[in-house]
Amino acid sequence: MSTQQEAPTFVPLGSGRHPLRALVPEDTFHITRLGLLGVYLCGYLYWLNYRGVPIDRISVAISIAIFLVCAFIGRSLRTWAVLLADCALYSVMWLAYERTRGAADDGIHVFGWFTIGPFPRQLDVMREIDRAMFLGNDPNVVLQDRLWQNRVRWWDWVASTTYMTHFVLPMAAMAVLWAVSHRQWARFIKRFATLLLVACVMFVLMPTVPPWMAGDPKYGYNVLPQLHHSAGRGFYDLGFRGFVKSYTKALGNGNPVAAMPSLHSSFALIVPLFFMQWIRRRWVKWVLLLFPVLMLASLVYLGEHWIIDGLVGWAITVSAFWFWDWHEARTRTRRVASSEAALA
Amino acid sequence: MSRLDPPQVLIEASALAALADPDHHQHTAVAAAYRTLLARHRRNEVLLVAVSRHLRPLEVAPTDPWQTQLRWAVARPHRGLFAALDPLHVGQQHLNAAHLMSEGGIDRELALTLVMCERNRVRTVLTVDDRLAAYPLEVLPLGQPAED
Repeated sequence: MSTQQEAPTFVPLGSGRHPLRALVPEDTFHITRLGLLGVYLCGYLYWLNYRGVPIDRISVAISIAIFLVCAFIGRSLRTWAVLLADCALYSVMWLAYERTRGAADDGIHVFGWFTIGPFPRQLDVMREIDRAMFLGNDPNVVLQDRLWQNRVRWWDWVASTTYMTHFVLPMAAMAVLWAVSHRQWARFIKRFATLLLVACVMFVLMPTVPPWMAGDPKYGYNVLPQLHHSAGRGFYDLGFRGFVKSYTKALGNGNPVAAMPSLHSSFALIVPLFFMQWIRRRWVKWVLLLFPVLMLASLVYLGEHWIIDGLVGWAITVSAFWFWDWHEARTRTRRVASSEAALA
Repeated sequence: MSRLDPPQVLIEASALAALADPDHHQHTAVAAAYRTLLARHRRNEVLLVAVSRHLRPLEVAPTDPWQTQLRWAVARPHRGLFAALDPLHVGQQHLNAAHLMSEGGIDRELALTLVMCERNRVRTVLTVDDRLAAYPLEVLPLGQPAED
């Protein structure tokens, strides 16, 4: 009887055996997928060089769709059905985000029956929190006074490039996860969607005036001295003209009073935080965590966000991870308990 | 299934049958191994998987209403003995590959198991089928059955 209770151990593969791949007929589409992904990468780099990085939602969606077709060609019909369902949910998520993000100004009309909001714009609270953290100074004003020059400097390249990664990095991470592991994609998207959901609620309930608007005489707040507002000038200087041009167009459709929380800061944290579980070296983890810090510093320097916007964005991101980590562990425990109960 | 996921352990058709049947002569041994795997799964050290064609008959009977059958295919309820398992869904290309292998003399269901292992990067199996020991897979050892 005692031998029955011994824990199974993983037996090492025999050295004389052939790998399983040599026995099973090859997936004939594997090479096709790799080739298409190579062509896609070349095409993307060409586009990047001559037209700029696609950043508006439709362009990004098209570029991801082409990537997914390349990555999924030749896979089973069920895989394609799951992919289509994923795409539908993904689109609904972004549509809901766009709709609610734009609702800060007008409020939310519920089936024409009644309207929620619009809620009063927040400004003084955010500024006072920032000033309290920085001994009575306005971080945006101090950074621009010290660093902003008429000539574009190297830190403008860094700040502007970091700022622009917001439009590419999370989508690229999602696309790669989509192609590599559906399980990990689902884990990522749960955290991402939670973050967006909380952010959308906050955009509606507490529309927040960003620093550049608070200092712009055109808007009449006159709380700060006028700040330079040109987040893309470093990129423009690097030659990404198409990118900046597209961005200006995209910004024109956005909601300018959606500063709290900062999705730039949140997205800059969610990607390194998610991939950190596969990184073993501690110093690499710390280097990765410098990226969201660099993002927040860039946002403040460029006058896009208050510091508290970024801190709240980080807090929401970490909370989303905490919640889903707990939920996933609980789900595993429940399923195991169900199996064990049936086994008893 | 990729290198980003924890290692997967396939509960092979013969092990599924042994688990589902308390009168099976290997039931106790397989159940002990399964319990250990469940504990490892709870700690997120391994994922437990089964070939959908082998798992489905144990959870859904052909006489069950179509809603039950559809639900299993679309969003399988994780309940009962195999709640911790995730199915590896079989596509036509897997069947085609298994058919090619079966022409070489390998049993078709065994061939399908090998195809699913290869395509989903499964390298470890829990089985009572001795034939799998001949293939480059890590076969989890079982204790001797109580009656022996």
